[in-house]
Amino acid sequence: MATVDLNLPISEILHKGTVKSHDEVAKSPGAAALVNAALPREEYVRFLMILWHIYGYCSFFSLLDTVGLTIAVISAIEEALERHAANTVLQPTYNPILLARKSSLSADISAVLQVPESSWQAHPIYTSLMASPPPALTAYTSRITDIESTDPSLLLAHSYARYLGDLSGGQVIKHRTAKAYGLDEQSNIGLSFYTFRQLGSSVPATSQGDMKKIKVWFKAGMDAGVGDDTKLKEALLREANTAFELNAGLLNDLSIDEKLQQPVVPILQPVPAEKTYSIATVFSVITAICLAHFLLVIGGFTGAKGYSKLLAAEQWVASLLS
Amino acid sequence: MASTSSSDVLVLAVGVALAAIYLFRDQLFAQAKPKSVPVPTSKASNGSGNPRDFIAKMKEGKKRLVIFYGSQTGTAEEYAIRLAKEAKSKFGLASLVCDPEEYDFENLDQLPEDCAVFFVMATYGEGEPTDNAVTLMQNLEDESFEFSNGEHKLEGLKYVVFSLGNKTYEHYNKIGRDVDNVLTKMGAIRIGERGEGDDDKSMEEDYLEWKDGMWDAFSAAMGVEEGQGGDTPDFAVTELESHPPEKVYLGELSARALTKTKGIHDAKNPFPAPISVARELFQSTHDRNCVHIELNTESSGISYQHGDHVGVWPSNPDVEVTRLLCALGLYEKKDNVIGIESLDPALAKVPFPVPTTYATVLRHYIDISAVAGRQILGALSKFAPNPEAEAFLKGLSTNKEEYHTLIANGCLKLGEVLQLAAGNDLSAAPTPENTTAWTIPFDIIVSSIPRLQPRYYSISSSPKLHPNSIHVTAVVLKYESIPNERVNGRWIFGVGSNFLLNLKYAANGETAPLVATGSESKAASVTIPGYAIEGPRGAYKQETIYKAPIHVRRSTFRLPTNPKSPVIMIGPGTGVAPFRGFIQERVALARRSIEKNGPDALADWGRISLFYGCRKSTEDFLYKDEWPQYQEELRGKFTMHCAFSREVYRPDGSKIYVQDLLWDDREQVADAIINGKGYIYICGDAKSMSKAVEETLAKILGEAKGGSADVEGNAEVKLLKERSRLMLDVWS
Repeated sequence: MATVDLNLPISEILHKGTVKSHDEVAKSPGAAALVNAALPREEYVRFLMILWHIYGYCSFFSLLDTVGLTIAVISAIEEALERHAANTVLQPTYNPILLARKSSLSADISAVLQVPESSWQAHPIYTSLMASPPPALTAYTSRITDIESTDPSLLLAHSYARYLGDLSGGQVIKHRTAKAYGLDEQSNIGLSFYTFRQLGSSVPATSQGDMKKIKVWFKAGMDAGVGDDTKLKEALLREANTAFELNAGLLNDLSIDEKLQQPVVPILQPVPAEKTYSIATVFSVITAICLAHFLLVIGGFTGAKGYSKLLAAEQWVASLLS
Repeated sequence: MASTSSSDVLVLAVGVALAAIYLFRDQLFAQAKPKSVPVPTSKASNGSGNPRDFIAKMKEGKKRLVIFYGSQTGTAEEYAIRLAKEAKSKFGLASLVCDPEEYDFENLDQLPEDCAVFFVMATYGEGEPTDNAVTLMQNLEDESFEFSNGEHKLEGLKYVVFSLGNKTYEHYNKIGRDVDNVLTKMGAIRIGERGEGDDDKSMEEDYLEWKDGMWDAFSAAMGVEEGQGGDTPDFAVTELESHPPEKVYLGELSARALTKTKGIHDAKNPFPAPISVARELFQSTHDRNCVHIELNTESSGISYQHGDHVGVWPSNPDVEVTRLLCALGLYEKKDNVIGIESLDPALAKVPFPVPTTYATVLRHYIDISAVAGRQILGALSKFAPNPEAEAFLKGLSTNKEEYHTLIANGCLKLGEVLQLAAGNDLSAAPTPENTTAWTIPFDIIVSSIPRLQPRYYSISSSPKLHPNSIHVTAVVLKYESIPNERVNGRWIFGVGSNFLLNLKYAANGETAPLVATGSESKAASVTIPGYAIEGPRGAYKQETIYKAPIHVRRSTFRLPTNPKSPVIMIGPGTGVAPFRGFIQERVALARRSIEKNGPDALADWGRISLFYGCRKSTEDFLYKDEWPQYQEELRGKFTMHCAFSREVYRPDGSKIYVQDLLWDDREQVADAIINGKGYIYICGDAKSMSKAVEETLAKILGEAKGGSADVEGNAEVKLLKERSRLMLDVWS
């Protein structure tokens, strides 16, 4: 880790102290594929689902949790921030209405898959993701779970790594993604993950300037929340680098189709569905076999009669050939 | 038997194998088929030649301008398209708008004499070019890069630069400036000044300020005159002799609606939601209506959150459709099938689905109910049936004041303006006999009247109580226009809310009453406009059930997740709509908490205050009978403060409004915000109410902080907004 003057405000410490990790992430093939929207559509959706888990996979449990009904076992960033909203380090940047991405991720997944929001979790992409969650995802959520129970202030580093990224590079990805997957930037359908509101307003943020205002506000909030606590600053810097590593892990997990890696070729068609056989297909095979058997029996193509017919057919074929 | 049984097996096996091969033919033979490779459509259009040769494309499309954009988030691209549109409308010049990544620049020096190149360049991050302009910049800046002339020279090349950047970053507009410098160095000649837009605040103004001067210089440099482009149509409209009727759009809002195929419902594919309940909310309806409508979303896949908006897709009223059909001379051919094609798809897309019919376009797809714009009147004047009508329209388009009194204050729609100009009687029911026909090409109507938009309403229910039903609370918009010497005052009806009122009458089998003439109204037309609410091909009517096409628009107007946070809601009139949803949301949570943790479950909840206002408790008190039940279920946590402006007065006789009640409750309000970290929500009229409430809040907070409203109060309000603890859902 680079040596950074710990007397600087935390926003500058994190900026300077994560340059290396940031660049490593930015230069990875996974990041390039994402920025160029070169992922196959299914893989892009799968990535959105992974992000959805990291931001907050289960609002219902966390809602119940706040009224003391049950306790979520695994933490995700936005639920953890919600539970520690009163933490003095986190409070100045606590603004789920401005920042929270979970529900927009859900809306986007639904739009890209063309499946209602209530039922995308039954989609094969999601069920197979859940059947064997990638280690990078598990690593990420367990890290959030860990720090939530040991030192929730460190959640700030994760907020920083994710949200500032979404506010910066996310805006580039948005435009490319829209073009690549045929999404409409005007209506914003399928692109809400990359869309923010203007600071202090309900008007959509459209310019780089709007984004910058949010980032400036966020950094000021970090500085106010952390103050001069150098021990905390050091821990946050370490955690921010961890956050970048965790994100690098997610990106490394992306399976990039080599053929689709050319940045300018948009993926216009969804990749064909997996080559497993549906129940309907299997059922129709069985039906066909039964039917074939039935016809053979009824048509008298079995047994001795059948054998004589086969011989007759053979002779007929032979006569044709001779 | 052995032989027979083996042949048995053989025959069976052959049968099975054939059946299996047939069934799995896709999988088995898929490898053999050539894989379809996705091809970007932009490249597909030009059949022959090098797709990266922009000069060839320009020649092929007879285009004299090429516009390159260096764009990362799409803004520069938008401005590039705008420049192309303006070049076309001003000078009739066609442009090739290009992503520099898709072209080679070796032959930039071959740009013909009578052509020009535009660069619309964004600067990103620390003075870097956008990703799609990296190669372009390298080519331009690299001295060893040779153009087809064998040199790094662009002698005499005419170019325009508009550059986009952000003043708060170092290297403001570096890329645009670099392009400019390097082109000048290579002997190219800039037309006009270099434009520079500041993305931080004034991009639009910067652009507007720059472009007029640039176009003047452009016109001189290119030897073209303004006004040549007025007649270049955007679209080609053709009447189709024979077309399968089932493929003609008669008001369907999506391809899925036409083909009746399933798909998710969003703004691109609205859902026809059956109306399960429709009732009047005002106790007294002699001069006003407010409708409560419940839209059934069962099995639509539509979900919503409290505070979201529902978009309702209305159609235009019958009388306006007929009026414009008559004025355009299309009444006889109203049901003819037409196809519409964009003549330059990069610049203008056909804004609605086709093929369709004239009547459908006017009824369902374009906004003919809006007040006619000043610009369009000028454009239409040349199609006037007589010199007087032409002079009348020209006068309106050039004289702002006259336009304002006659058209804007008179609330005249396009059809009415055409009738007025031709001297027709506006008050009579329009027919081809009493309405003069103008010969306006239909493509001009398509390109100059905007698409009919959905009307958005704040949803007044919570999905926790009503998972399959979206409630709408809409006051019916109806007012009298200001009379002038040419037109009497008339009743003006809001399109969306009267569409809903129509649906309400139909859903309940009621007949629309005549509009009240209680006031000394000079209004000529006194019947509520009728709509084709049964929809295209009767799609919005099923036996006695009517449907309205809707979609949900997400909002950020949300309660805090934690019920311990106090909540203050200010919503007079229909501004109360989302708060009914908010309260229902909390009621649902309360029920679950109490069920689980017993009657004291709400003990540590924050206070929920609703400030509501209307004229009288007996006249227009919305959901009057529901509130007491919510209060009971929320166990004293919910208090309602009502201002009845025509019922309860101050001792001095002045009216009491919501902001006055807020001030009266200032101690609690300040405590909830400052100590309780509470949330404040304002919904309703943006102009007067919302502003007054914000001022009162500043006063309360300034006082509580021991300072003034102007300094401490406003600072606190700003802080609350930045943390999304003060949120507005307002309209004007």
